[in-house]
Amino acid sequence: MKKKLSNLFGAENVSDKETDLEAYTYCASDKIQKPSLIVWPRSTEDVRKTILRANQTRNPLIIRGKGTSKTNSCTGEDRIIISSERLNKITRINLQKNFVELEPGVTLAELNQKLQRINRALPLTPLSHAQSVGGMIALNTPGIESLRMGKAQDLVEELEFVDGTGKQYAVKDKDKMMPITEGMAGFITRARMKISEPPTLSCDLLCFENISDMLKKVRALTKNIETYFLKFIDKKTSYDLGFGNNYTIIAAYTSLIGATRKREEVIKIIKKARSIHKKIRERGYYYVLDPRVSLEKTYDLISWCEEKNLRLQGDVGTGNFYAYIHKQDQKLLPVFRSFIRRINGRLGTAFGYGRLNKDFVNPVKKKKLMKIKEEYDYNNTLNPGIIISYR
Amino acid sequence: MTKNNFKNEKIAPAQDINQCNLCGDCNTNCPVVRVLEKETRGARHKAFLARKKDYKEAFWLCTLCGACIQDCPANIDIDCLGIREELVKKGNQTKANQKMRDNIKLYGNPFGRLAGGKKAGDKETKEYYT
Amino acid sequence: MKSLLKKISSKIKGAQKGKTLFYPGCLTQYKLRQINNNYKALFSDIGINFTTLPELKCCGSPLLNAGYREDFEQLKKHNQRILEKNNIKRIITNCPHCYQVFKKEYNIDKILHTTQVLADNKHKLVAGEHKEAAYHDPCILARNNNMNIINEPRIVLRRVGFSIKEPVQTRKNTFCCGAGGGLKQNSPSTANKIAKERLSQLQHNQIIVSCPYCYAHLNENKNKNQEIRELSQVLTRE
Repeated sequence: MKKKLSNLFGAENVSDKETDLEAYTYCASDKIQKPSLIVWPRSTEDVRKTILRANQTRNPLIIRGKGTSKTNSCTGEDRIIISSERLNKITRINLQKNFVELEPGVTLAELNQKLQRINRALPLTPLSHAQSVGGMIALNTPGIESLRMGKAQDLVEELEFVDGTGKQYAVKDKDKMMPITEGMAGFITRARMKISEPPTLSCDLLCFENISDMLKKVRALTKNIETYFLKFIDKKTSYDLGFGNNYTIIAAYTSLIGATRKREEVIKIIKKARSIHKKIRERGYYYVLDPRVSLEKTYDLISWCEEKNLRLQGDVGTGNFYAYIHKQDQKLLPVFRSFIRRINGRLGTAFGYGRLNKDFVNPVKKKKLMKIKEEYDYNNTLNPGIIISYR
Repeated sequence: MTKNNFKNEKIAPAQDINQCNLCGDCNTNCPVVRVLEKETRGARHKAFLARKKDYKEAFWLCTLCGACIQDCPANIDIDCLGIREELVKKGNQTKANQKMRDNIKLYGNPFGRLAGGKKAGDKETKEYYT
Repeated sequence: MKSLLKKISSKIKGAQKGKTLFYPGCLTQYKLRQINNNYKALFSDIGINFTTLPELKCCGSPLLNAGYREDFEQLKKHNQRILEKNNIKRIITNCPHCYQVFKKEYNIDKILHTTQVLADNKHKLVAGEHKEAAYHDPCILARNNNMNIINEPRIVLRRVGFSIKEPVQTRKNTFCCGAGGGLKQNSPSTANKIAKERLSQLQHNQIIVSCPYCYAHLNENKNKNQEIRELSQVLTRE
């Protein structure tokens, strides 16, 4: 079938063997779907050839980075998967102008390892460091410091991608990057991202007995331009971490206004902030969701989660939270979704809308995306059914 | 209101494989995934198979380095060693492993008849068993 | 008179204390004889009393790694009988696989890795001229859930004049050499690819290791200008 024609770029880069297909039936969401073929392009030219061929044979493609999507976007029944795992080189690092050029299959962990050596870092720390950079940009993932540094696409200086018809683009504006949103109409082939020296921070560990006091303080802190991040931890998780049975905020500032200023102690606190996910997962909280709510509705979110035995942590400054449901409470999943809708919140800001959260997409945004899909991927070759229902 | 004590931190024991939600953190430092540049037979694939107790050849492709256990946020041990015991009970073993086992039975070491005193220089390390 | 009493009491204590065994492990004993001799010479120089028991068989680590639990139990019984008969209370070994098996499966009081012994006796090692090298942490010694022998080899190397250039993935976050778990014999192509990846990560021409499997496997896959050295080779005057 397509395999014979894709032997244009090496038989080891195309596979329909049983073991390979089995390894791509899953992603981080709990749905199992078996693909029919997997393709690993090694260059932009390979990507173009694959997309052109897919158009000619009317075979849609599913784009996959590291398969860490929680919204069932990385696999498809009887579909062809185009994976960026072998587009994994970091082509250039410039220390004077502070940017890095790389291919989309580089893992965030690998990138951070290489940058740590030269005292630089990507100012974006999402929940998991296992995802690919391409996936991060496509989903516009937020990180712990998004209050000050923005999300993934805000760090992109230049982006090259191939659209659904096989045409190549190189763009710099965020608006022009819209075709690659969740791989809807474009496959990223190269990105140039901003890097910076890790900032010197001071921290505050703030504990509150009631939510209203906490929100008052948060409101004041978000207005301060020196606030770097505001991490919220719910009561039970604070207790597990050793902070006592109260609502905790870990606040970090780019100046020395925090109570903890010594470098070792600040590092200790930030390590704690990064270990929250691990602490919660260790206790059997299996389902992870990404609600986003306004500051006014944060009170409702926190009390609801506490009442129903969910764990909650997140960036209270931007409203991007992570809610954890225990494995035994699977029936709470739809209840949680309707609750989020009731308080005008959204699911899908951090993990993407994918196939599971399409109903949370803003209608204005939906219209925009439809137009872009029409322009860049008329045949619906790339990621059909993801984020919008085109045709 | 600012407290800095980390006392009373509770440590949870290691979780069993059913707590795995296939998040993919185990693949970040798995040598097999890093080198073969694909998901197949990597750490997460093994966790996927272990969850449904589908024990196959994939479990022989592991150096038992432990990077996956270290990276897993839920402290899950895929327990390749235990699964390999199950595979052997079902009769699934590799040829090289059989040879190693026979050598140990007959000569007390995995290499074979070198125990008798035959000299093996440092250059002859092509064949050995781990 | 006093000295005679002292001698007798120390001999009795010695008999109660038990003997120390140096167990080189099958790879070192049969294929890396130079390293075996290096360690024996080193221990004699430092003044550590040890015996060797050639009638001991393989520690059994390859059997466990391949899932042969019953065969391993038989081998363990044979070995433990010999160890009890010879009143062995401490085992020093240079191979992390043997170290792990002895610690977890056998019931000997004290198991030590050679780097631990050398670090304890570092004042007896001769400090040499200043040189630079990279150190590769073996998986079994360095990971979280295992043995935590990370500082000892560095203490030893610094004492003899090395400044260690750490790769990005080092200490707890070390990257596997590719030989363990049976991969070396079951899938040599993958094992070799992993070794080459690790060698490119180490980014240095002088690489020091403290595990015989890492040594042999990385040696097979090195570039022309790289040199892999086992810890005993840099301590012994060649």
